[in-house]
Amino acid sequence: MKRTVGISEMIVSTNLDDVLITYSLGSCIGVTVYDPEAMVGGLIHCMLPLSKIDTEKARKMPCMFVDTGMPALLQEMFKKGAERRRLITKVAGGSELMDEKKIFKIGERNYAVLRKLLWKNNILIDAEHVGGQISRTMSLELATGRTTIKSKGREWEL
Amino acid sequence: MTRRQEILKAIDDFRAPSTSTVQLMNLLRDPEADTDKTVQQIQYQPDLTAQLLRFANSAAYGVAGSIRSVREAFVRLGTAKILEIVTMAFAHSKMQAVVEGYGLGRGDLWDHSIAVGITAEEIARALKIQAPDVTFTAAILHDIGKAVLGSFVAEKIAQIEKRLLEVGGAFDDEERESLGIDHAEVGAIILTKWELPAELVDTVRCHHRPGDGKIDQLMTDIVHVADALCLSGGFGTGRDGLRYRPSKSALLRLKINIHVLELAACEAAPRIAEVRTLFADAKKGR
Repeated sequence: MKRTVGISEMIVSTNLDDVLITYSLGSCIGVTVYDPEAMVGGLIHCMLPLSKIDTEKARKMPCMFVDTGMPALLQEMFKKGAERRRLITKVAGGSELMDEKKIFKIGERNYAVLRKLLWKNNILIDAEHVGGQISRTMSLELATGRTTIKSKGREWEL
Repeated sequence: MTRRQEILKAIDDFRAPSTSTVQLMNLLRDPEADTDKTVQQIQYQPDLTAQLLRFANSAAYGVAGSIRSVREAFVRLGTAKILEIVTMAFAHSKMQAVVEGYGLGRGDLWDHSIAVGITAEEIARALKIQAPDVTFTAAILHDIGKAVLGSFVAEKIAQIEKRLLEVGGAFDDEERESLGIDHAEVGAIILTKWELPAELVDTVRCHHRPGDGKIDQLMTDIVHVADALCLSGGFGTGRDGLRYRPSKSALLRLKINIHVLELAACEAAPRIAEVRTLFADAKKGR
């Protein structure tokens, strides 16, 4: 079943019929994690880097922020049997406007915070498609672990 | 016919809102208007009445206790909020269709429009400034030109995308290059025909080039930044993606920094989600 992950949401699934999908990743960051042995996978769509901007919101919607969303995603993965050393982690999004002044650097910040957080957690990024000025759709097929990116009518495996 | 003439012809064919909608929006903007008359105007439109009451009783717009009539909604919410709801309902009826060229699916243009409306309010709030009265309406209608220009963009999309790669300009630059007009100007022409206020039209015309704004600079700057933030955040973003330039001078005039942007985005997102749900429920309810 196709299951849509909205902005500031995540889904972790063990159902092999599921395809997790998130649309319209601009400056937001999308992450798929997959454990091929435990056959569990997750997808998150975070909008902003740091929860300190509104801690109240972060409590209600942890997936809005990278720094609260990613730990929530990992925890849910581990709860469903995934193991850190087996995780396959892929990243998409982090686009920017044509902003020479770099005031709209939300995409860059999202990506930077994510990298730091994964590094601290000893998790490597296996593949990524980030930056530029495009909007992306990202999906994860539970049965195979295939992560695909779609943008401007083109689709490819990440 | 030149390409520009063809586009102007298409603008003529784009259906204007009904007289009653225009009348109603004018009444709601007029501080001296007779509330009885305005309430009556809404009650004549059962769909609108139902939508208004749904909003009035929602978490996003509602106040404590239930609101059962249009009159009660006026008293409890105030005219400004009613105008917002009426504008969204109107936009919902005009901006649902698929917009080819920009690669917008059904409902995407409307999604983007309400996102910019709500984000404009949140930017003003984050900056602790009062946005001009018609800012929300201008923000909701800023991309209406895409609804008409889309089919023309579709014809030229290969050329436009080739030039985007080669020249590296913004999407609206390439609209002007390929079609002689961009979606902002098309929008302004539509709204002039609909007899909307001149400052609103000017803001729509200049939403990608706020420095060219001639009437209400503050409103134009707010809508510009709100649009940029929503395009960046992926709210109803299409094939044009993030190929737009935020205006350095607008950001400076508003004293925008990353904290303001992230705060506005963070506050706006749940409100956008709720408005979407309210309209989605409305569809199911029928």
